[in-house]
Amino acid sequence: MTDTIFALATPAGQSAIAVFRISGAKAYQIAEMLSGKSLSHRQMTPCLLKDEAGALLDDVMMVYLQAPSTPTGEDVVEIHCHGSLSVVSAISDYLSRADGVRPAMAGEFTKRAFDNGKMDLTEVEGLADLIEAQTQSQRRQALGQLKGVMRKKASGWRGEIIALSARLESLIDFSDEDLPESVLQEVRDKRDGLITAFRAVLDDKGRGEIIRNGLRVALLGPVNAGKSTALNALAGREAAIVSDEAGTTRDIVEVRLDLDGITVILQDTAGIRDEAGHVESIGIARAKEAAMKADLVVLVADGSQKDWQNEAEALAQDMASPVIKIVNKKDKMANPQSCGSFMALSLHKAEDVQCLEEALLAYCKPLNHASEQPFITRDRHRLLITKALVALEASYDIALDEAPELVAEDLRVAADALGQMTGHIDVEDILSDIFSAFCIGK
Amino acid sequence: MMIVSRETSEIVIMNKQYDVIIVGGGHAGTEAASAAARMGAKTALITMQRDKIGEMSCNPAIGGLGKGHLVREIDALDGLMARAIDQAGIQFRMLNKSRGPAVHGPRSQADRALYRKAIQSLLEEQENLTIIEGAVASFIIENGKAQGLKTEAGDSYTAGAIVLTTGTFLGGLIHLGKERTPAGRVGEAPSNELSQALHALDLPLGRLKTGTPARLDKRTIDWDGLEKQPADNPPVPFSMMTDKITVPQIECAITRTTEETHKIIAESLHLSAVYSGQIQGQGPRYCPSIEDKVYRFADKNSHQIFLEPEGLEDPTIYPNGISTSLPRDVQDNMIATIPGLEHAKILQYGYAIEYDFIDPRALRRTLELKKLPHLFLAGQINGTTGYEEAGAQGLIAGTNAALLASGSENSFILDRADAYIGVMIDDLITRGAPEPYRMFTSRAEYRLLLRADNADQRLTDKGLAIGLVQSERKAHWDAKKYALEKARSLLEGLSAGTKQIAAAQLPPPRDGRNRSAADMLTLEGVTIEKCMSLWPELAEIETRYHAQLETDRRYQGYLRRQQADIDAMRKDENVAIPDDIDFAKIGGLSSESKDLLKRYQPETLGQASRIPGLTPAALVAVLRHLRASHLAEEGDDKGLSQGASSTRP
Repeated sequence: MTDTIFALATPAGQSAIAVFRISGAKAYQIAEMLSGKSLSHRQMTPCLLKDEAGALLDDVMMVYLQAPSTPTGEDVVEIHCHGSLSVVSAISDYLSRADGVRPAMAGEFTKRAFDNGKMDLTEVEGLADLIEAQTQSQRRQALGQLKGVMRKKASGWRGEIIALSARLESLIDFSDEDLPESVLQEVRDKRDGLITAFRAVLDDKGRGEIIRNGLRVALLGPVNAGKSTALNALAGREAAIVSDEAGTTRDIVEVRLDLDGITVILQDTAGIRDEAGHVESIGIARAKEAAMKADLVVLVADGSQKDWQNEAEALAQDMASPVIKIVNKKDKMANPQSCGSFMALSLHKAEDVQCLEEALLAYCKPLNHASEQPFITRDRHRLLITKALVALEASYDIALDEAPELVAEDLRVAADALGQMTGHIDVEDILSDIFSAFCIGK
Repeated sequence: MMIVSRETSEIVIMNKQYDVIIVGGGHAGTEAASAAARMGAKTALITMQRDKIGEMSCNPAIGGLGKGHLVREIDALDGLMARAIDQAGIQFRMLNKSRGPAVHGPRSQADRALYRKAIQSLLEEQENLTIIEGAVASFIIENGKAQGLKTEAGDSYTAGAIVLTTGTFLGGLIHLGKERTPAGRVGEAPSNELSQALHALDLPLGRLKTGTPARLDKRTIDWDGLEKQPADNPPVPFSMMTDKITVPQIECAITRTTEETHKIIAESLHLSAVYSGQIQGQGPRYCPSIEDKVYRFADKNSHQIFLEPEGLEDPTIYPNGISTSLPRDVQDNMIATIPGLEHAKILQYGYAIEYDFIDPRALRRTLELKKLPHLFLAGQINGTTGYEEAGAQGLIAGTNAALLASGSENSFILDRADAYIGVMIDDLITRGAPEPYRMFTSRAEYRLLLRADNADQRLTDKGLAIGLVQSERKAHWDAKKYALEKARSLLEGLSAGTKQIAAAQLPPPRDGRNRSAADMLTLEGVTIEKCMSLWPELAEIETRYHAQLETDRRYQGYLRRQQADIDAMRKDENVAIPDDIDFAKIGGLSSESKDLLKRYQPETLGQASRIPGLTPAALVAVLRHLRASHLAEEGDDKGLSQGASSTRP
């Protein structure tokens, strides 16, 4: 028998109420022990929780959910207690001491739900994301996956690959039948269609992953240009040490922001300069590396330097990601009107920080609001779609009319990969499609 | 070998004791009888009419796509069907010849009389086999096991194991328009007493239907102007024991339905047994009646019909493609609208037949009934259609019946990577037969491995190992095996460099490394023949083995990729689920999963994994339970019992 597990189901920290969830065969027994009351299925019951010594822990509401119609498929008890840290830790301590119950490991509730057939693999993955969701947008996407935005798309592909296999298999198993001449062409067209669709969804510039993991924005620029000032201004707190002395930020400082629902991971990097000390040059190397890996680079030039533009342009040229170019210290510039593609700002001024924030927002917005198009948010899905794509592309090397059985092998690999996302594709699915599409049978 | 049961004092009774009794003389019954007898079991075949043994009751043809593979596999295990059709085939054709060798499908039209004769004489030559005329009425059941049977004439027979192959005779009902006639085949009585006996066993029964077209008189057809379809020249035999086909080869003709035909059918749909709601059984989607075709594919204004002779001397023509249950006058009118058939005389009207079948999910992989040990079922009674499917099941059932009767612990099971036979039986016992089951190559996930051309390489040694293959075939196979092995080592031993290869007009390797002759054969368009200018030694390899060797090399990359899948499949297949397992007691199983497992009673974890609707989580729970209970029993961690496929549970 599996252990009974418990966990705080609401976020840690002070709150009005907190919810503990207990799952497993002993859940009911423990609830009874804690409350001294017998609970009814799906009925909220007010209880006074007492510990072993009879000391009052809290005045709570408890609900018992009887297996199997519960989130985990096991007996579940929820304790809705007051959200003070002392109450939460007292209840947590008490549960930990109780016999046959232990704190849940990460993801254990989900795993049990999966084991008991409460959700399929894509649902589990979606739920894991939901639990981790920190921002509105992340939650929307995770829910979307659960409700089937991605699945809807993928199940469309599933239908297409079944139709494609059906046509190909009909050329093999029913070659002596009166098949329409268009079948061979339909195979080609459907295969092309799927390849185009897979390529399109794979080529999303990683939008799905950005929403899940956050948009990495690197602040890059010469020493003392004001990168840390920009970071602090955007974050609203002193995350990086800011001084006027060049080379203060020697390593990378990260701050997470929520910009219109998108998690932005703002990275402050060491300033770039030619005659740096050893420690600093390591920092510079890291700065360049971070900028190379970032989804977006904010290039901060130092307007107080004469040659700022050439130096900054040279840095920008090395970058593979999109770059927002700003030049700081507008007040010290001779000619702040002619800055080319750079936005001239004074990052000490609140309204100029606002300008920078708006530029970032403008970049985030399309990521966030084009949510009709599902993104690939899991590496596993990306791998499976890639596998299906590679298999379909490989089949181009084979003469379709001479060796359809080899094309069918590649197709089977593609269908299996897709089936791992959308549910197994069975030969019966393919045969049904053949018999409904063609008049087979002598 | 012989199981001697209870009162054995009287000599009269002694004569009625057999190791294995086969009921039914169709394609399943004859293969089962031959297989059991080849295994050395004292075998009896009980059939209603001795002279009908080996009868082709529907279209007289053997093989086709997927089905041809089954015939070659039956042959590789020393069965009858391939040898019989080689003596009776009147139009040999290799289907899919323009495609790759994995999907070539040998097929031949048969002369029905010659086929019957071939089967009957093969059975007559068979040692250990007695043929008895009679109709089986009931089973003798003792200790929950089938121990014998009684005939309608009142005779009793005892047996160590029984194989029931009653085809469509169970509860058979023929529909012709509004007429309904209880029958097995036209003019033959159905097995009603046996049907009742089976009903009494409380087995899960279902109802299926199938149909046949009207048979036409060859002499009244206007053959001029019809498209002809010739036989292959030379014809390729089915059996590896046949050197050459000597039966004369004929042509078939092709004609088509017309809009006039469709109009008559559409107007008379309400008169068809199928459309009037008179038939409850599910018919095959791949073999629709002409009514179905016209109704479901209304936009198609013509359907092709193959005019296939039923024999060299026989004037009967089987018009393949227009099976029907419309009334006689409609059939007359309909036939007259088809080019070439304007004046054709109908010898026998088309009809639909409904029959009982036993849900094959009630069977083990050996085709023994889970509920009634020692009774095996094979053929159409299990919801399949086709002679080849029936014959293949008969072979497996007969072999296992003989093993069981001999007291052996072993059973003979082929898995999905061994043979189409394995694919079929696994499909049947895990999915049942929602429609009459027919073999297709697409059902075999390891299609490139399971070829018609390598059936003997896959199976003959397995057959030899359990004693199913007799000496004559062994000699044939040994010679071929030796030749192939020799050729393979020759191909692997010969190698050449880029320059030599280029000089021989063969595609030179781009990496500059040497290539063996075997390597060269993996390349598109390279054959042993073409390699001979480079390696004259290759002339030692007999031409008849070229295609085989080339195909093995050509598919090699794909086969290697599939091997990983096969290994994974076999791992699960080797985890036996004991008969006495209580699924209700397995923790972490949803009630839905428990119901599924209880209903299907899978014998292995692999089989459980193919139960439609069973979740991966449920499989994990079952595996965990098996592992835990195994550890509890053994008290050590030896792991799960292996080799479930060769041991009776």
